[in-house]
Amino acid sequence: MITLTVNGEAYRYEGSPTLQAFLERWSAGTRMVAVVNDEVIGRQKVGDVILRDGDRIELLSLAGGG
Amino acid sequence: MSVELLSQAQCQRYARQIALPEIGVAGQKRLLASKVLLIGVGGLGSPAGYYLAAAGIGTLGIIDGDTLELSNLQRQIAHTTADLGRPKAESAARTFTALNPDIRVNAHNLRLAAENAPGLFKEYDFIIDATDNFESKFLIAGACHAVGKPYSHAGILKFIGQTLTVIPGKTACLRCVFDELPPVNKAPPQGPLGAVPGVIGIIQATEAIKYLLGIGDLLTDRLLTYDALRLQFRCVRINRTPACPLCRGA
Ligand SMILES: [Zn+2]
Repeated sequence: MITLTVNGEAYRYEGSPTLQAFLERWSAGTRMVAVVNDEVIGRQKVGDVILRDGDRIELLSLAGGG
Repeated sequence: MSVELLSQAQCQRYARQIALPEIGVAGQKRLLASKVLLIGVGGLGSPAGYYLAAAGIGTLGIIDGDTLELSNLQRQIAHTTADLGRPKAESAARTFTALNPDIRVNAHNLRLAAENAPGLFKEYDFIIDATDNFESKFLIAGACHAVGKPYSHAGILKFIGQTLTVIPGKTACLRCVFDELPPVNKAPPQGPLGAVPGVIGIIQATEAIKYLLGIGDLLTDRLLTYDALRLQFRCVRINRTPACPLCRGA
């Protein structure tokens, strides 16, 4: 088990998933941008990033109203 | 900057902020010599414009191509019921001028487009994105980058507001974080609660004033999210992205 901090809250997670696998489980198809340890991860790269114990993940989506 | 003295009325009108050591007479003169462009006078632009006008931003530009509808008044407080059917740029200009006749308000009753944006932006020192759609937000980010103008981005969804200040070429931009437009959502709009863009629009006005005066720490390289239901403010650190379509190669 690893501990990830997602949007400021701690979550336990099985194994060491790729960011892509994490996003598929977390956001169920909605398109969100992930910032891992202060780095914005482009959508082409989410399969390359392997999440590790202690990683901080921020999930952002663009708000369009005004 | 002008070397003229402040008038007696100006000294009284701005007395409270002139008394702040970070502003003073020199700062007030700088604000009076400054030009801020407000794009959209809806939920975000109404409160932002009120506070920019009150603070004595010498020239306030307003771009809005819409006319006022009854459903706008739940959040777009620069207008009144008597303004229904009138161009929003004009009713907001009247409101801001009534609050502070000491400033000049340029009302542009037109829709922002790729062709007119750079020419309009060049005339101003700071741009406020107070628009209500993704396409305009991307257009503003691109045009600010092209002409090198700092801007405050903001967006609202239901009870949530987001904002980010950008100095193009120096700090992370909107497109560093959001590289593509979200899918088109055809559902009828829900929200926002009117006070949510109120909070965010006032932050945008504050950022403009801080930038113009060169005081404090701007909301750069961090995206602020305000969740009104949970009453949480969160700042997410962001960095310039090498793959950003605007920052790439800059
Ligand atoms: Zn960028």
